[in-house]
Amino acid sequence: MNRHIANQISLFFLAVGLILTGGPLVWMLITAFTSPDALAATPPRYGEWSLENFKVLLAAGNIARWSINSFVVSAAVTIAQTIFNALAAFGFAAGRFKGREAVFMVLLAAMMVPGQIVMLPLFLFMAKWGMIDSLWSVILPAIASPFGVYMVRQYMDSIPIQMSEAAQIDGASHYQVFRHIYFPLSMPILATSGIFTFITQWNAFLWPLITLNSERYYTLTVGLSTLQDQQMMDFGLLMAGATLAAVPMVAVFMFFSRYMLEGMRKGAIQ
Amino acid sequence: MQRKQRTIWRLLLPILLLIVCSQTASAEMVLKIWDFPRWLEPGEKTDRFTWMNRKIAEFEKQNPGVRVELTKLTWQRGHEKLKIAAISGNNPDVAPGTVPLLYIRENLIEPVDEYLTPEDRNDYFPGAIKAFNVKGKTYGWPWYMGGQLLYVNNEIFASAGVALPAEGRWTTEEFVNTLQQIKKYQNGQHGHYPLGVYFQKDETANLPFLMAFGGRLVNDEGRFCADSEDFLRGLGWINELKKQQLIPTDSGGRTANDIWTAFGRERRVAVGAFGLWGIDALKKKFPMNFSVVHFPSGTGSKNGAFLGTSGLYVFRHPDRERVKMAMKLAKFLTSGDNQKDLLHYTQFPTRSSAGNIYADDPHMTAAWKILQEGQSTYADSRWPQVDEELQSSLQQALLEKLPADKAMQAVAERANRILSVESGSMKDDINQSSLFAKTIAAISLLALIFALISRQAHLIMVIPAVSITGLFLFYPLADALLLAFRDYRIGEVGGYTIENFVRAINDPKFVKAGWNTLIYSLVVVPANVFTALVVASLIYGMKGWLKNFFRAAYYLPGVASVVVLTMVWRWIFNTEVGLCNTTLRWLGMAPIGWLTDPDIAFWSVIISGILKSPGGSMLIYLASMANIPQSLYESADIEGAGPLRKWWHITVPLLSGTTTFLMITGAIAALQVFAQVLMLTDGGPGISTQVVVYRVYTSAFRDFDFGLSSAMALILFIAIMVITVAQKYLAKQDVEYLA
Repeated sequence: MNRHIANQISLFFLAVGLILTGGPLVWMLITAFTSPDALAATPPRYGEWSLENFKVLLAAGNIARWSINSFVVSAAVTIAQTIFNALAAFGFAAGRFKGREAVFMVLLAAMMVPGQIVMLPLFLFMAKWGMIDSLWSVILPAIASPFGVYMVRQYMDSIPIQMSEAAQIDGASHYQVFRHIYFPLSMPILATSGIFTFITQWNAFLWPLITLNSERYYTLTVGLSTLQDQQMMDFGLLMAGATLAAVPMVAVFMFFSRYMLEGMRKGAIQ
Repeated sequence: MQRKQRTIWRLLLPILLLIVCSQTASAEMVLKIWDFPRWLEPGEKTDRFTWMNRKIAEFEKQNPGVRVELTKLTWQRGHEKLKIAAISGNNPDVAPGTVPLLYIRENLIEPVDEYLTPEDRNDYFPGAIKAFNVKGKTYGWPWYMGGQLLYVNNEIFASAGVALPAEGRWTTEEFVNTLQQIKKYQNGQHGHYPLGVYFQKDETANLPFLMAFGGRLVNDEGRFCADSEDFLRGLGWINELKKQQLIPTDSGGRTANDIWTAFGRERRVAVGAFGLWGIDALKKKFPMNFSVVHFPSGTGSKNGAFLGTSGLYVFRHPDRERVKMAMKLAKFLTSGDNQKDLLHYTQFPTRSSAGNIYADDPHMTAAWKILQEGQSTYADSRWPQVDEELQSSLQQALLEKLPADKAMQAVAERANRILSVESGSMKDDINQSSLFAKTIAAISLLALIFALISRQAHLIMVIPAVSITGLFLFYPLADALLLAFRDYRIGEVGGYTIENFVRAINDPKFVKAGWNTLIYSLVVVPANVFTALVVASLIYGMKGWLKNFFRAAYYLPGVASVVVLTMVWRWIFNTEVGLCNTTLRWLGMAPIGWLTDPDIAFWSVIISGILKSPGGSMLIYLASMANIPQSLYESADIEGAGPLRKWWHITVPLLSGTTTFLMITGAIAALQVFAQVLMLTDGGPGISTQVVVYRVYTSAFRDFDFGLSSAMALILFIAIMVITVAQKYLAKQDVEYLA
């Protein structure tokens, strides 16, 4: 009985919270699927559904190409980051080399640098190497993430050192310890940070906007912003664009959330 | 050991290969042109580049062996993108805009004089070519002329029983009388006003109101003089209109979009000043019976609307043939024949050979007459900075944050300081790779070699992440921070100074930004972490599909980008048609200026920060909760503890390590809040929503003051570091909580 009431209460709070945090996105969907005429009316007539906003948007730009670019960038960054972050985190967590903490602190300090400061020098640097206006300009600066290293290391620190010591007594190399003990055991956090990275990259906006000039290299966010800029006050089209940008991420999340959960449970048992 | 190295090489090799491969060469001449979205050609629904693409194809046909690449700019971020490209030498060959004073100062623009034939000179309207003239040279091909006019809703005028001014001219007294009569007719309905005004940077539309009594912005000696008695009289007059409620009381915070929506779409405002584009919009998108008229004058002499002339300019390039071809392209696109198509753009041609394309359009004919008496803004590369100061002071004066005379004296002082500094070229200073950065690179390289030689497996594994961070973050950072100690503004390259820090601390916007950032972090970070903790705890107690559902539903909004969410928030907070105010009106309450009231706008930003998905933090909490031994709860059960007590005495303390982690990372992110402000309020109204990174960004990419920008960035960096270390130190005892 007591438990039942507690459950009802928590259900209530969760529902209220959901309305507040999910509200904006629901509003986005409602606007996107309302016909442009109904939106332009005063007062707007909600409830007149239509796909017109999406039709206009899809007819206007090369959304497929931009989505592929976004996917390539996000996937490349995610894979590279997962490997580099795991390697570095292992190095920091299990290594006993000189200056370990100092190097780690320097890496942490990188987290505190607002990306906007380095934008211009980074642009100059990449321009010097001829990487402007290519997907490389977006991928390369993102393939290692101090935040990722930090997160994974926190997790790896909790893996008992005895495990690797035992393995080394059995003749395993450091690399094998990483490959067969730390890497699999860290799967939950790697999955979490991987999905996080993928989403962050998919959503990246300002830097790709500045470095990408040719339409064939546009990522989805950049492409949509150029489309939307042409219809400044048309909130229906703006929201349709926002929906298109968000939908693939929802799909990724739906697909991987189960995997993430599995990872977490395994992690918990160890 | 070798195997490890092989693995690393296997990872790096493809990347290196692809870098090499991405550099391609081509034989034909490729000209680059960047342009903004223009007009929709008949039958087009969304693409505002069809005209440009068609003309480019024509040009390519006429000039075999030449290929023209068009990059589509956005009106919102296009200027910043162009500036970054230009200053770093990655500029296009041809770019659009008004006279590019900044690039001319940096010696990046090719004068067109030797390409202008006498026929061309005769063909152009004199004002048009003058607009591109700087120190005796012409720096662009004038394309079209526009300006801002006063629009009148004839229907409201007729219903209120007031006449339009004779020949479109009126004195300030006649103007106020008319507004008062309309006010009576409108009968105090919510959101209905006779006149709408707005003062924003880059918007000159409403400045003539302030100049109705003879006030000027800049006098003949080039001194900023908007603190003169005449100008203050104009400002006082607008304030008087506000007291009589002839304009909205929060006029200081309104944007052009707000007033346009109220005038064109909602028809709650009878008079407003907008660009020429309004004529087209009021014919097609929001059909209205309207007139364009002169600005009222309080002195008997004329009070001119502001004009603007845009054109195409050509960047310098060592290859003369290329410059020649770029000139040909720019001239072709702006030829008399091609200017005939400006008909679709409701802008006036700059060449008489285009003919009178608006002969059968009474509105455009009237507009042309009004603009003949127009005035131009002060042609100076430092003007945008002055303009920003001016507009934000005007906003503050109108919102009564500052007395008008104090505000204008302060802006005059600052403006004249800006105008008196003879800026040197910053390009060389930015472009030279600093010794500091090179030293860092060298040290890193040595460390890298040492690490590889030492053959320590762990160390080698750390190298990729560390060196990539070093290369793409610390190296450019070193470059940027060095700028904080340089002063290119006095025109001497190589001087080191702390002047930038002094300027930063004395910059009222930066001070405001600092406070705002602090408030934002103090409110948003604990709120977010607490939400995540509560939500995670509640979800953790759930069973079966409910648990999965809530976890997914709470995480879901987190996958949307800040850009997307901010776009939605802007739509929700819109003063005229947004969800919040529509609901308030429906409830019969007065609408709130969510983004236009300076006392509220920043809290709107904070609300959008609090009401975001607790997704990531929630997942991390859930993962940590799974690590809490179940036995602890079981023993608490035996002691008869309730769920709340168990939560407070077991869950919360055992999660304190996670909480610290989330607080620290949250604070680091919150102190760098940027995208929300950029897209939601653009730092306004006034200076009410400035935050530090936004200030860093705008002073670099809008004002091109890299010294100031870097100095502010360095201050922020140190602040973040101090706060992080302090937080970590305070929570030190709790961090090592669980295996």
